[in-house]
Amino acid sequence: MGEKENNLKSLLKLLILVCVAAAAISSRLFSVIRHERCVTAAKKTAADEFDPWFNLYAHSNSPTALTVRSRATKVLVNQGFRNFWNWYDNTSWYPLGRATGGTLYPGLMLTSGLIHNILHKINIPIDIRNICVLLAPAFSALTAYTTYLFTQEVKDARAGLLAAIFIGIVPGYISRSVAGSYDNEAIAIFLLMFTFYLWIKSLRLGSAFWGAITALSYYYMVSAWGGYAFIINMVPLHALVLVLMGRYSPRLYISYCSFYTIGTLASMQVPFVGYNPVGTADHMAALGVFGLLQLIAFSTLVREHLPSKQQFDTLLKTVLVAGSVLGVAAMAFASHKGIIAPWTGRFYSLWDTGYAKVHIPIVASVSEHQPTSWPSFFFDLQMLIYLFPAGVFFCFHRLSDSVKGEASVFVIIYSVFGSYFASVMVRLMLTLTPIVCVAAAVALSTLLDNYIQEPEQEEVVEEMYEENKEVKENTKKESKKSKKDKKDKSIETTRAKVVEKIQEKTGIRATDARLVVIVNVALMLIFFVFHSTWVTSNAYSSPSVVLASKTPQGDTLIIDDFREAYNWINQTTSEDAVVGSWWDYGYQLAGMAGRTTLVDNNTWNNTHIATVGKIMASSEDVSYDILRKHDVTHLLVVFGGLLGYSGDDINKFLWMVRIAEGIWPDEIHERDYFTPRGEFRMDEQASPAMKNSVLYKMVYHRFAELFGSRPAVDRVRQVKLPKVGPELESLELAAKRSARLKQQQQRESAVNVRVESVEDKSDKEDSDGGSLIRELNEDIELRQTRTRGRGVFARRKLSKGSTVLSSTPIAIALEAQYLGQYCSYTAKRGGESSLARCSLCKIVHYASKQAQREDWAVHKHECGSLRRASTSGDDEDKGIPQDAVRVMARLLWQREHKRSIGDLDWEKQIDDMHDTYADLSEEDKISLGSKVMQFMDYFSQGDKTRMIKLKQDSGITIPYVMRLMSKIQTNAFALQGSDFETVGVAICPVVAFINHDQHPNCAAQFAHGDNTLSVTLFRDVEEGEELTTSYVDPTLPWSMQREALKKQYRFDIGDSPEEAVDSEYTQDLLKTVDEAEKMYIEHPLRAFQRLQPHFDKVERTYALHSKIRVRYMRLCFAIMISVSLLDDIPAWAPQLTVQLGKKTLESLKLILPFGHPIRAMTLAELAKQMLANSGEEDRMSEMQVVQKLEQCVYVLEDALREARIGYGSGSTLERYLADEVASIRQEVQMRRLAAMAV
Amino acid sequence: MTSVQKSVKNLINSYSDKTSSKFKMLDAFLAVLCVSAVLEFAYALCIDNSPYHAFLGSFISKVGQFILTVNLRMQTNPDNATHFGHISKERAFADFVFGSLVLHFCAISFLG
Repeated sequence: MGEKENNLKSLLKLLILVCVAAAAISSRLFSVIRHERCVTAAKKTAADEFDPWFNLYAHSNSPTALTVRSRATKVLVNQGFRNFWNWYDNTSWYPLGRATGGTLYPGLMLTSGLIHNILHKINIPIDIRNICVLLAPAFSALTAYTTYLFTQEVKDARAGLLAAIFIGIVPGYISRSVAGSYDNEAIAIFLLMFTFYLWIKSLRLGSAFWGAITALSYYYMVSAWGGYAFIINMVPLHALVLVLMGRYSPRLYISYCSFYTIGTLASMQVPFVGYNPVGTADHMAALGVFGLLQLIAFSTLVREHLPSKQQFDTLLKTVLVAGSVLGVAAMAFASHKGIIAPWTGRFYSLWDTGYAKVHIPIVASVSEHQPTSWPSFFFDLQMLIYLFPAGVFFCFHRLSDSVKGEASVFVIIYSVFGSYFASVMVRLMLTLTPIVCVAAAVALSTLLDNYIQEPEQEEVVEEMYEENKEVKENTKKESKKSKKDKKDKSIETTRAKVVEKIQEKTGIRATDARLVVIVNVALMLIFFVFHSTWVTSNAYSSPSVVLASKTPQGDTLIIDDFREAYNWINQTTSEDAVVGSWWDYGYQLAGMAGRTTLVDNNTWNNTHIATVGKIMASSEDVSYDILRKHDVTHLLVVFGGLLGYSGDDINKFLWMVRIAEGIWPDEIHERDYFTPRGEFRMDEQASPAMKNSVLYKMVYHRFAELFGSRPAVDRVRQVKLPKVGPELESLELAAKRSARLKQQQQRESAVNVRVESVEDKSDKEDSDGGSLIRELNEDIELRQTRTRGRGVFARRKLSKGSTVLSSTPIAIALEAQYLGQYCSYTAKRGGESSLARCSLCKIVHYASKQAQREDWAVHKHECGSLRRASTSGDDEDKGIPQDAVRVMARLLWQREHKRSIGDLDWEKQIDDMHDTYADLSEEDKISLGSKVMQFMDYFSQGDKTRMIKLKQDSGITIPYVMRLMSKIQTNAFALQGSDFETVGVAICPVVAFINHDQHPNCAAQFAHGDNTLSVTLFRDVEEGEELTTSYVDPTLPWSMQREALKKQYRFDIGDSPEEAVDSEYTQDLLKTVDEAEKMYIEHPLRAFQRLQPHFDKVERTYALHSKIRVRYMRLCFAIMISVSLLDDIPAWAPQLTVQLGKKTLESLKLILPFGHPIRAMTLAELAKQMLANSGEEDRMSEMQVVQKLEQCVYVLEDALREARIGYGSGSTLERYLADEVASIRQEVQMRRLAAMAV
Repeated sequence: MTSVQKSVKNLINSYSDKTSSKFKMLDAFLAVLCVSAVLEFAYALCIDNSPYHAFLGSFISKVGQFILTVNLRMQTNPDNATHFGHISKERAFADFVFGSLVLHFCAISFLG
């Protein structure tokens, strides 16, 4: 062993390490070299073009912060450290934005920035993006060297070299460090190994210097990767195990304590980590071990100074008892006060593999957080995985070694935990890989040591020879004393020597046996290299944004749809466009398309991600509102059904649903997306929720067209799709890649589309010289649209609660039963006594003389008709025709009157009214005909000659009347009395221009207790937006609304997007509800008995917002209100009423917006019932009564708030509620005072 | 109780007899650090710990200084020669200085 030999050895080692580094780097360049060529070839551009951005995005398939990182790096390099730290990124996580400095691990960016600056200092002008691309390979070379050092600590340099080779090319590590993958892991694995190496070294030397260096390396690691928690738990664990093994030494104390204190203080300098190291349970193990070491060190010191063991024991006992009491108390206090935060979800998900799926679906949704499958262990580690246990076994052998034993303990612990974590999450394979390399290298080199190493054997023989010599010398010297013994000894040694020699030739160490083993090992190593190269080039080097596949002819096919789609977005959309997409595409969108995104790969605001999930999973109406709220202009979905690309959005859909359900458990239900048989289907049998979801619609929208006459097939899911794909209502297809891998859908509101068409048409008409646009007032105007006829549109931005239109009907007619209670002209309420009666007919009443005078022009005709009708009929009520007939008569008399005074414009209003006569079915026409006959009889007072005269004079013919009748049917409003019950009909053409919508923004109400019909907004309306109202009760089930609209207004709103009324039970229930609805006014109790049996089932079966349930609840509530008007109220009724009211309200709140008139009404109703429900006051204490009244006040105040919006300000309801609130407040005050006095 | 008292008395006697004056000085420094750290902790716990980073910085730097001093004491203690044969007294002091520099650099940067 000369100096020369040593030098040669070092040189060889150096050479080998350089080769390893070169191999490590070059095997990671596959991706860049190969796919760069492919892409450039495909794009037919210069072959030597190098696109670092492409490489950056191409290889980030992880959820880590790639784009932000590369963009952050740019900020760092261009604008300096301070700007980087304070960089607030507005385009991420829209609309929240992101304070980048505090929300990511800056280590990677700082490293590349530093390298960039250094290279520029020494005049190497390399672009920062190239550094980003090549950073990971460079660091992998460093990792190889560090692993060499580490293994050297565990065994020796020979094992170290093997380990370096292994880590250099093992696929498990390459998967995260190919060129272009600018991930935290790129430097983190190096830092992990380096920190561990330094820890082992400082432990061996027992030096505070190395402890501090370890802490600094740990600090670097903390700044680079969240996986630092692995270190801060592994190292204390190692220390603890050593203590438990009885191997405590001052070296351990020094190295651990210096590492821990400096490391903790340093790690808190990273803003993203903050105070976690002293606050969270993840870090408490380290603190505990630190405390333990203090105790041990102190007790060692004490023991040194105590003469007897007994004395030490007594002292120890006392201190232990006192200490544990104090410790427990402190822990309890800290936990109670919440000083120590509970374990984070990350930790639970590591220990309980099912935890993430249940509690944090967002974590489980990432494919790399799934448990590892067995094949992937072999795939990533090949032969190392079965050498690994052997290596750990050899480490057990080395435990007795005083110095390297400690390192062996570390390897064992690391192996155990590393294997566990790797089997829990695919991603953590990365942390297992280094130790597998180390252990495998230890195993293999131990094997090779035994079979290759000639020198050692020579040494052995030499030693034996020397020993023999010694023995012989001894024999010579001591021959006189005991000749026999010596002889025996020398014989024994000679025999041993012989055996050794024989074994050398025939045993397991014989040359041929050795050769077999060595050849085997060599073959294994060669296969390992081939496997690694193959895996690296095939599995881990393909960029995720460019797909390469082989055609049957063997040509490589490049599918570059992702990049083209991003490029399309970049070129076509406006700069401030906000693109919504599932979070997987967030970074690519931000980086390659340069657009603002809602969520990206590093978003940790779960709600924000769930919002996107909800957008995708809900029906268009629901998502539309959300999209508007978030200013989203475009939605991006990825679909691979045509190509067979399985990583598309449909396959991620269930995660979107789950994550959304986590935040909105009431609105999104995972099981709704499965068929009743529990299948996740896309074809015709897909569940309704699935079919109505935005994602489904977007993905399959016009998909069938691609197949022409053949059936459309989704190649990923292998299903045939319906011939007619889903139609989009509020979204518009913006672009579709020809290969349909990526769909870009432009969302354009239905409203905007309509507005556009309006403007088109009005332009044309302007040029014709006529315009239909009429300004109604300063807020709204009437426009002609192409698709929906006339409509009322906002002229400026209007806020909810404002009354945009107040109009007096051109004609009203009261229902016969209310003729005596309301004024027939102003519709004001009054008792019979307070109203003036027409002394001629004695039927019609007026609120004032003036009203009577003004009405005379019409009433003079009506009077006679009424008189005749009331006397000719058998029954008084029947005799007077129904209000629809009478209102038409009034309308025509009014027309006569206006004509007579020369006002010819007035009747235009009548002609202007929309009519649906042409759409009427024969059946409808017959029923209309009977009404017309009734009208004719009433109008002409049964006088045929008068009839003929009318025809001639005024053109009142049967067809004309038929049309008018149908107009009235579609345009009439229900006249509401002061109690908001329907008391008659009113014709108000202006208000009737407002179109129907399933999601209206305004309501027309008779809110002031007279005949003023006011239109009040309950949503904010933008300029140019159409005002819409609901023609039918919006809380009715969809099917009923549809039917009513079809029947009365002659248009079809189509199938329900949300609920299918198909189950037998639902049909049954609807029937019962219909029946109850008909009979409840007369027999409320009986109606309620009908409904009651369904009560529990309805609650169980239907969702809160399902319209069937709402209808059921409302009906029950209404019935209970009727019950409360009965003479003898059942004892159970009042309480039930209040209960039902609350339930109804709960449901209503989900389907109607704040301020909707129905909500206000129901609240008011509920408050009334709560007040009425105070019959049991005598059984309650004074305070209880006060409490109850206060609750009433709360409800009333709610009602008041909503009424102010739904009915506009100054409505009757508002006045009533305000009065009520005031009076109850007063009562509460009184009762309080009274109670105090008592 | 008496046995505990006796043990403590023994301990103190043995300590004052066996320990060199240099180590006694180090121990005094340790005691000062220890007491001030405990006082500071109690103050933070009972009265106020804001600004938190300032408290943490000073508290941990005290603990760290304590640890580093203990390290120095251990490495220079002739009783531990078996463990630290390879570390000379000068080297131990250099370790101490280096560790302290790193520690206080971190603490100062943390204090803001």
